[in-house]
Amino acid sequence: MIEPLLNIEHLTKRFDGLTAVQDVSFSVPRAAITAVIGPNGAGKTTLFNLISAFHRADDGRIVFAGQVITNSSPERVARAGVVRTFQIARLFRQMTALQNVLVGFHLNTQGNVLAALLGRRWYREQDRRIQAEARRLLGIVGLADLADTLAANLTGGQNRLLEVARALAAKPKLLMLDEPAAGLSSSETAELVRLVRDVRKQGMTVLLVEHDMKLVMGLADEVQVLDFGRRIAGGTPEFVQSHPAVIEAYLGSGSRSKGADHA
Amino acid sequence: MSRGERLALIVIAAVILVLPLAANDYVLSLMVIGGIYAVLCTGLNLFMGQTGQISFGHNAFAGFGCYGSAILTVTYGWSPVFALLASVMAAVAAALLIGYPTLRLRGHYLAMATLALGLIMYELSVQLESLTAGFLGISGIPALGIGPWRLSGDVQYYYAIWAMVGLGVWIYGRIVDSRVGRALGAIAGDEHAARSLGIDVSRYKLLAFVISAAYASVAGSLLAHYVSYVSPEVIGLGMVTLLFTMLFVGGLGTTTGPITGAVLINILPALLTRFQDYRQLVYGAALLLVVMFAPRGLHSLGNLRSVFGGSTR
Amino acid sequence: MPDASVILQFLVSGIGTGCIYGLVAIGFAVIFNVSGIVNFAQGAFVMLGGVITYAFYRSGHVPLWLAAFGAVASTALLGAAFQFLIVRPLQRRGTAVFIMMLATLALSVIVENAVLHIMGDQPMSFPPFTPGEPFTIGGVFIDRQMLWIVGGSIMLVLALWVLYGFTIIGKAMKACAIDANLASTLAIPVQRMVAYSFALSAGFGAVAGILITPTQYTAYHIAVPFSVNGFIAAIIGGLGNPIGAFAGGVIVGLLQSFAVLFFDAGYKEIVAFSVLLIFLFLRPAGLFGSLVEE
Repeated sequence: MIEPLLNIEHLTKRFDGLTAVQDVSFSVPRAAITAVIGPNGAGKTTLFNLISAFHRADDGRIVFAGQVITNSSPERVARAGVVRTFQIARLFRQMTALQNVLVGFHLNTQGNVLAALLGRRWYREQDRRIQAEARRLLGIVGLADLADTLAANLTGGQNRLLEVARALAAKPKLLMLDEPAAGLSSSETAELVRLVRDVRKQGMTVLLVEHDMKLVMGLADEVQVLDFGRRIAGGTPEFVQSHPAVIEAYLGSGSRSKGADHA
Repeated sequence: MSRGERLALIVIAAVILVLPLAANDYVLSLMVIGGIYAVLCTGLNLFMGQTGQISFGHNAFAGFGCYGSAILTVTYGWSPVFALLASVMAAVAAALLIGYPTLRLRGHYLAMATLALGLIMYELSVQLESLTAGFLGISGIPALGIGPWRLSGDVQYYYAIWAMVGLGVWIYGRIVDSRVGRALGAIAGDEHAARSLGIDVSRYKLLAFVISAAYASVAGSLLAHYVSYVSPEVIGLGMVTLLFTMLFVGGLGTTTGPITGAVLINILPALLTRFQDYRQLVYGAALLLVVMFAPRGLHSLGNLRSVFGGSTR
Repeated sequence: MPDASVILQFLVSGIGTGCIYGLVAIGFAVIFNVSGIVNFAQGAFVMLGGVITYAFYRSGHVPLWLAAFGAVASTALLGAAFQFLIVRPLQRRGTAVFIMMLATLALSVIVENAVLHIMGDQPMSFPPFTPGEPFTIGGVFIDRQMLWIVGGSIMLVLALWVLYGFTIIGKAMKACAIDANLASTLAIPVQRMVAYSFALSAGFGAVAGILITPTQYTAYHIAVPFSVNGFIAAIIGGLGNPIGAFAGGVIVGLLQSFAVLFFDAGYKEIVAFSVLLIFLFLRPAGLFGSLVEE
């Protein structure tokens, strides 16, 4: 069996008495799309923040491609090959769309101040190459015409797509998308789905958090369900869809007991 | 750099080149000072404009240049160029040392920490009398030059210093349009996003800080040699106000901003000859007005923006 | 090791300056709480307190207490005007906090230079509130004005405590500082409360200036040192906590006294700045405050 790319082991995170993530364990298989779903406040974004080292874990560990990346730093995690997008797109608003994507190439390019000043052939070639690549990526997400528009002037949906293009520029081994479809029109969502499928076809591993059930069930190869910080189910979309604990978690109205153990 | 900015730079270069033919001595000397401040502001622009940080203390690094050059050439008889280089190295070392803890701070904490640095430098220049002669200052600083050649007269200084401005702006432009520049811009845009893309934010902030410190030190040395006198007043809080006014009037984050800002603010008191003695007051008022009405620089007023190009990078 | 009475003497003067710094620091803390701005012009308010009192007293043949009252009132008015004319529109536009700090720096420069041109650069002073010889306790001289300084400061701090804790206006001002949005939903006129807070800060600064002037002097250039030292005090005490800021002020006053005692008089500012840096690097929340996230 092929080794999973990412292993979450007994991950726990507390905030001032509130346990946001409680003893969560699962694996993310290679070259597949794994979705993390759950009602609001289930701990999905906290999980993302833990993996990308924006939060320190109180317990447990995260192993990526054989490397323990728990409690490292966001830039080191990125360098290891994990690139994420954010729930509210974090773009460089003062830069154009093209320039935003160009920043994504930072990890895979070289060149310090001296290189910038000398402007040797290899440096200029590299620059030409990434400029062309950046335009290509913008084309893939359908933003080719907006390459020279300031990010501040793009719509919310365009912001998300730009963020994905920028993340792809970093050539991640694991692409983490935090609610990528939120605020997208139906045509933009279709665009996104096509993109994620293409990206998986090329061998990239995708981990995404999403609320849109239809999207998740149609797109994901595997689904992990969180509720109140615990993992309550995991498996294929069909399996998870009909799992009683999952149905309970989503339907749950009125009397729900906190911390009821379903897993 | 946008095409508009490139054009603006060419126009500025042309004007600078021919200005001495038309200008009188007084304007020329103002332009020399303007050029010196243009160098300082260009460096500060890299740190505050491109990287989006705050420094209320770059007068400290100018102090390294001013006093370093003054002390080394007057007291120890060093050659001006070596004194300048040694001062830059000292400023860079100080920036590395103090930058590491300081740059972990943000917002007003960063502002106040850098202010404290600038004020400590000012106080040291007053207190270390055996070295700096305190409030008396150091006079008789020799002219700038290498070996037997020394600059003499305003015209020579003018071209020498504006050549340095050209070099400084060229370096700035190359950095801003490069991988490094994009990383700095990412930090200005959104630090979390920058880190998530693998950019080592602390390292790049320090880099911008150190480079801007070097620029400030060079400017300080140039000032010392041109005016041939330094005193603590020069590197006091007044310089901080001045720098901010210049940067904001010219346009923070633009390539031409430091030049136009430095020149305009220098020329300002000369234009209002009646207000000579009220210089500081005028600077304060100018800063307030700019902050209130044109925080992106004078060029954001009216349609000048379209002349100088759309995007700022 | 200096004599015990010498140490006590420095202690006394340290407490005196410390109370003044404390009042200035309270001004910083109040404005910061209510607007997130670090007010560079705080020291200018201190300077104005002394200068305006001097101007009224000397030129207008006005009794000292009335001159002082007039100075506090006009400085407080200036503080409110500053909030109304400059801070409010900038905040409405969503201007970055550091640009608003620049505006306060600009204000400080303008006020300083205006005073320089109107009043000249010579030091000015006026007589202590109660004339007479200093008290002597165990070999230590205590200036009569010192009693006014310490007594006055303590009373002001108490008054502030009462204001915030027990009066409606005070509680409204405090609410605006904690959460302006929430306060406005409670039908509190937020902007007016903010203006009052600025007026309060300016007034405290002015009082500090008036209290200290008889023991030294006032002039246009004392603004910056008071701004900086007051700020240091506010950071040490904790920017969020006005009463803590006063404690911070006393600490800075004592620190400076001991710096003068054990080092050179000229180094007292450097000592204060270095302590500031240490706090910023290691404990930006100060002794009694809580960290404010950007």
